[in-house]
Amino acid sequence: MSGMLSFGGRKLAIGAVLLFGLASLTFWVNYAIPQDSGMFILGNISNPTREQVQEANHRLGVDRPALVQYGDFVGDLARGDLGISWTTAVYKSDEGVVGESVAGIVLRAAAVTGSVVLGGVLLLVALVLPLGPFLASRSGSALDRTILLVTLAFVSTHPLVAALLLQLLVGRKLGWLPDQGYCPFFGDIGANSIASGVAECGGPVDWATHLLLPWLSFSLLFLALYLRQIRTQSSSVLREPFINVARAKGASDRQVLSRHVVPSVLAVVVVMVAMDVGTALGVALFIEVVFGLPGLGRQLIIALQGFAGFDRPVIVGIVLVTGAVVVLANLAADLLVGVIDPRARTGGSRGTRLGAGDT
Amino acid sequence: MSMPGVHHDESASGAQIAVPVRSPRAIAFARLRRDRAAVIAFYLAAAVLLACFVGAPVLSQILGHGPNDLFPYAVDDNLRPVGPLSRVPDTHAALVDDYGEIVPPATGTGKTLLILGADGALGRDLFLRLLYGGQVSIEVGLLAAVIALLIGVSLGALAGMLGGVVDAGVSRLSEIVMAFPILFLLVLVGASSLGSRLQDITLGVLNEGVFSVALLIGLFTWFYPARLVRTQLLSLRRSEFVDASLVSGAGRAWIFRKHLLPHLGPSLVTWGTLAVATGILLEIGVTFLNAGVRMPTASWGRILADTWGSPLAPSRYLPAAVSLWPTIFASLAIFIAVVALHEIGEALQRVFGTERPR
Repeated sequence: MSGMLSFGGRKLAIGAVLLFGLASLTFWVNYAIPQDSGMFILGNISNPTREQVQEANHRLGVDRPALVQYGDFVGDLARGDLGISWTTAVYKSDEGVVGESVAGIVLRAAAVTGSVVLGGVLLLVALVLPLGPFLASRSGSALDRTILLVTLAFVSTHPLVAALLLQLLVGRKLGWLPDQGYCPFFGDIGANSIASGVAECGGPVDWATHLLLPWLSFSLLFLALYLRQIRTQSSSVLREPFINVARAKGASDRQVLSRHVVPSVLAVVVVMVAMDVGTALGVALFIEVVFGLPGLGRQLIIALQGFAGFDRPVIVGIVLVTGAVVVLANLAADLLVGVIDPRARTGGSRGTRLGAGDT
Repeated sequence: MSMPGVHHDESASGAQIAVPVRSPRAIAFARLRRDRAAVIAFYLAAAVLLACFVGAPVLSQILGHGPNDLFPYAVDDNLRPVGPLSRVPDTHAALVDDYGEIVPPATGTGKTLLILGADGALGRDLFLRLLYGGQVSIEVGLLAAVIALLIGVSLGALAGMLGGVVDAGVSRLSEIVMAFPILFLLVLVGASSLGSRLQDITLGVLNEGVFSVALLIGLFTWFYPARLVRTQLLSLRRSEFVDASLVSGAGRAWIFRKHLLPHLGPSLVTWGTLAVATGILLEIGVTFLNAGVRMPTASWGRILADTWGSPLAPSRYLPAAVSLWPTIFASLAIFIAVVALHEIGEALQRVFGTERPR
C-alpha cells in the first residue's frame, strides 16, 4: 500500500511540475506575441490615441518588464489567484481595474464541459460494454464484420463533421432536438441565456435534451475506437480456461458474457476512459463550438479570438484547469492499472498523455 | 527494408531446387496485393489525389470558371445556393434595377454548369472548391507528416545512437511537447500576427496557408516518430550485426544509414500514412476554429466553416436559405480520403507486422 502511495505521490509531484511548466509556457507564448492588452479596458473610446492606449496598458500593468510580470504571475499562481478576465475588465477611478474573476468563469464553463464529457462517456460505456463482448462471441459473423466496417467509418470521421451533420440533419432539417444552446441542470432559468443565446430554459429535462446531440457526436469517434479494443479484449477473455469452466457448469452464452466477460473488460474500459480524458477535452472543444455550449473550449476560443486580442488570464486559467484534470485522470489510470496488475506499479514509465486530442 | 534474413539459395547442398528468392520488400508487396481492402483503399486514395491535383485544373478549363468565381445567379432570393447539376447564368455581376432588386441577367448570357451546385450565399462552384480544397488539405497532411518525420527521425536517431545526455535531453523535450495541447497551440499561433506572416509562404509550389498549418502540425507531432525510432534503435544498437560493423571499422553514421535505417522503414511508412490522415483532420479542425487556412482559399475545413459560420459568430439558421449539400459533400470528401488512408495504414501494419504507432 505504501508502494502505491509513494507511486501516486511521485506522479502527483511530476504532474504539479508539468502544470507549472504549462502555465509558464502559456505565459511566455502569450508574452512573445505583441498586443496592446490595454485595449480591453479602453471601453467606449472608438479611436484611442497612442497615449490613451499606453495609459490603459499601464493601468493593466502590462507595460512593466517581462520578468516583473512573470514574477507577479507566479506569485498569484502560488496563492491560487487566477486574476480577472481582461474581456470583462473595466477601469474605475476609485477601485482601479475590476472585472469577473477567472476562477468563476472557468468553474462555470467547466460545469458545461463536464456535462458534455460525462454524459458522452456514460453513453459510450453503455454502448460499448454490452456490444464489445457480444461481437467477440459472434466473431467472424456477418454482423461482426458489418459493425467493424462501420467502426472504420466512425474512426475516419472528424468529431466536428459528425457534430455538423447531426446538427444540420437531426437538429435543423428534422427539428427533432434543439440544435444549439445550453440549459443549466439546476433550473436557474435564464441565468445562462446570454451565454447560450437561447431563451429561458433550465432543469434536468431541458439540460438533457439540449445535450443529447452533443453526447451523440462526442461518443461516435470513441465508440469506434473502444469497440475495436474491447472486442479484441473480449475475444482473449473468451479463450481463458475459466470461461470453459463456466460453460462446463452449464452457463448459457448470455450468462458467460454478462457474468464473466463484461466484468473483466470493465476495468479495461475504465482505464481507457481515464487515459483518454485529454483527447476527450479536445473533442469537446469542437462540439461546444458547433452546438454553442458555453464550455471551456468555447470560452478558450473567445479568449483567443476576442476583439482586443488574447485574454491571457482566461487562457492560462483554462490551460491550467484542463491540464490538472488530465494529470489527475492519468494518475487515476495509473493507480487503476496498479490495482488491476501490480506488476505495473514499479515500471510506471508510460509517460503522461496530456495532448488535447490527436484529431 | 532489406532484412538480414537467411536466404536459402546459397545452401551448398548438391540438389538444385529452384526456390525463388524474394526480398522482404517483395514479400510485403505481394501480401499487400492479396489484401483486397488495401487494394481498394489504394485505388481510392489514388483517385482522390488524381481528382484533386490533375482533375481540378482540367475541369476548371472545361467548365470555364474557377473555384473562387462568384455566380450571383446561383443563389435564389433567400440566398439559398442551387443544388447539384445546375446550369446557371455565366456572369459574375448581378443586374440590379432602380429599386435595388436583382433582375434576371441580360438575354444572351451563356450558362455554365455547377456539377455539385453552389457552395453558399456567394454562389461559387462547390465541386471545384472541393477539388481545389482537397489540394490544400492533402498538401497540409503530406507536408506535416514530412516535417514531423524529418525532425522526429533525426532527433530519435541522435537519441538512440548516442544515448546518455542526448537521449535524456530528447526524451524530456518530447515529453514536454507531448504534454502541450496541440489544438490550443495551433489556434493560438494561427490567430496571431505570426500566423498571418506564415500564411504567405508557399515555397513556390504550395497553396496559400498550407505551409503555416503544416509547419505547426509538424512541430507538434514529431515526438511520435522520434520515440518510435529511439525505441527501435535502443534494441538494434546491441545486435551482433552492428557490433560486426563496428569492429570492421564502420562509422556510426554509416551504420545508421546502411544497417539501421532500413529496419525503421516499415514503422515509419505506417506512421507516415496515418499521420497524413491526422494532418488532414487537424487542418479541418484548426481552419474551422478560424486559425488555419484563410478565406477565400478553399480547403475542406474552409468549406465546412463557410457554410456554418465562424465560432464567435455562427450564421443564423434560416431554413429557407440553407442547403444541405455543401456540408454533406464536404463531409463525404473528407471521409473518402481519410478512410482510404486509414485502411492503407492498417493494411501496412498487417503486412509489416508493425505495432500501431500511437
